[in-house]
Amino acid sequence: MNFETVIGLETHAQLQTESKMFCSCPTKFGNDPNSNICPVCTGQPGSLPVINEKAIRLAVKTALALNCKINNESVFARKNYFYPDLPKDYQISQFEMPLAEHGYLEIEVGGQIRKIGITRVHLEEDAGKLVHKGSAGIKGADYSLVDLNRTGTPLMEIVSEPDIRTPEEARIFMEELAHILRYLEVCDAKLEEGSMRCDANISIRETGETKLGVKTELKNMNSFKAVQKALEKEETRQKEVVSEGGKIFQQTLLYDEATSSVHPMRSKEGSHDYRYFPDPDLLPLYVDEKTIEEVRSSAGELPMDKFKRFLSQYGIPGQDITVLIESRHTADFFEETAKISGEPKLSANWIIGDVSAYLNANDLSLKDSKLSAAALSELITLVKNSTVSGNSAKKILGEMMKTGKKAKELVEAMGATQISDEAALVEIAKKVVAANPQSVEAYKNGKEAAIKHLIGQAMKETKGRANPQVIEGLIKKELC
Amino acid sequence: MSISKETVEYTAKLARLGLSEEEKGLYAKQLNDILGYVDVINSVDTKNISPTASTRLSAGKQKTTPMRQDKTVKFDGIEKIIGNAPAQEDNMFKVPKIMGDDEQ
Ligand SMILES: [Zn+2]
Repeated sequence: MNFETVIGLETHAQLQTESKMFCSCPTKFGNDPNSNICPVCTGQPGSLPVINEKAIRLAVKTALALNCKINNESVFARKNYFYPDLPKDYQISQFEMPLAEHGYLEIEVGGQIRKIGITRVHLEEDAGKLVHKGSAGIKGADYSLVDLNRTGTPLMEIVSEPDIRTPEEARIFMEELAHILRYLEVCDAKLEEGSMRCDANISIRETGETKLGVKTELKNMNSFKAVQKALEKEETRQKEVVSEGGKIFQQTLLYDEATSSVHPMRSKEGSHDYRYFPDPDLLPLYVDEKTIEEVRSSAGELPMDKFKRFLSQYGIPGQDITVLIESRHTADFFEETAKISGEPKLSANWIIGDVSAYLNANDLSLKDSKLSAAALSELITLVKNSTVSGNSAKKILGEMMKTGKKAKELVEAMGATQISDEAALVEIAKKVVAANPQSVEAYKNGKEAAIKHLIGQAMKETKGRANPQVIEGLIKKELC
Repeated sequence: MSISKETVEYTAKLARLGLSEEEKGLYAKQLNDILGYVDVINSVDTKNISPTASTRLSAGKQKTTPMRQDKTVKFDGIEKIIGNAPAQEDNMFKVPKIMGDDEQ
């Protein structure tokens, strides 16, 4: 039997706001337990939620980037269930009338563009955190402790259509979505840290069949790789079951990263009856066309469009562009450097190479570093007109990023100016030739590479400041 | 619409309410009375009228739900909130065992 796999993804993303969705408590984590709570997010009687305007704008921005239609009017509803991390006994979410619907996201799989439908984008609030005592997990615990710092943090849910056909496609979809969220500065999109979470629905059907098969839901994938891995495992399991004449039952499965396997989660009958109804504490949300247009213009160019433009405008390789457009800040930084220096290729090389290496080594982002586009351009120009050597420039860059000093200043202070003056180098060339008779001999016997050693010695003598082309010419003259 | 004893039992279970047999019968009757009244209201033709979310909205005084700027304010009565809970530990709310021993 030939099977077709059908996958749909539900993504939750924590929005980068200062305050919570419905109250003014800070959203910062890592603080002491219950240090960011108030009557609203702990569900005290008589408290009333008030919507965070920034959260709405961030969700609208995302929805526009996902080609959705924004509903001018949407409704917040109560999703009712009992769990100790949910103090109100309901989560404020959106159900019948979400903020946005009917979008799509284009992803590239094996060189082909695939268009994955986006069913809806809506807003809700996060739940709290539980600490189980007397056991490693909830199972066997004697009791639990509740920390409500996270309760009420704005969450955006993005639901895809069941348009995804392979586990690999699912991973690529998540990666591209995360990229967009980071690029739009909506969410830092780290699956490992839980600021972005993914639930995957998967079913199989006989090829050609149009009806959907019974699906299972996968949870607890904490990396993009895990999304693909978990789906591959479950795809294989379903195919085996059906091939052997068995049936798939609707259930929720947890992925275990350590063993890379999936296990059924405890299921309680009737626990999925959420009894949604419009939250009487909140009037319908009205997002007018003016607001939508404001958000649209602030969102600027999207990654996919930027990729295409960089390709044609700067003629740099696709994989370099992918790195440059990882964040909007980096993309802008590159364009500014390219413009000032007039050297897009060199600018890209510096940013992807030494600048990134320094940032990674020091766990910094470009935004937090002291490097400006103008400063990098100056350095690029100094290398281009041979004032400094490439090697010295690398050292100077590190110093620039650490201190924020200008390249010229550092070049002078470090005495790193490249020596291109023949008169200043001719003595060095003579000295090196005299001191290395073996290399001279080898060169004269036709071993051209031997000159490399002589150049290296000259560089050593000048602490890397000799212009390599000039010194090579001078040494060759000496050897004649 | 008629509310059976089973519906009352199911609803009570969802709401974690323990009801006596007597109460189940009583609530089934009361809920039927309430829904019966809703049926009366439902008999009005509202085909071309959208539901009223708020009288303030329909009176045209307000277009949308009020919103706030993304500014943080620390609440200064946190200890009272925590102190209000039946049990605490390490500044957290202490709750009984969530999963029963028979569950897996
Ligand atoms: Zn709060």
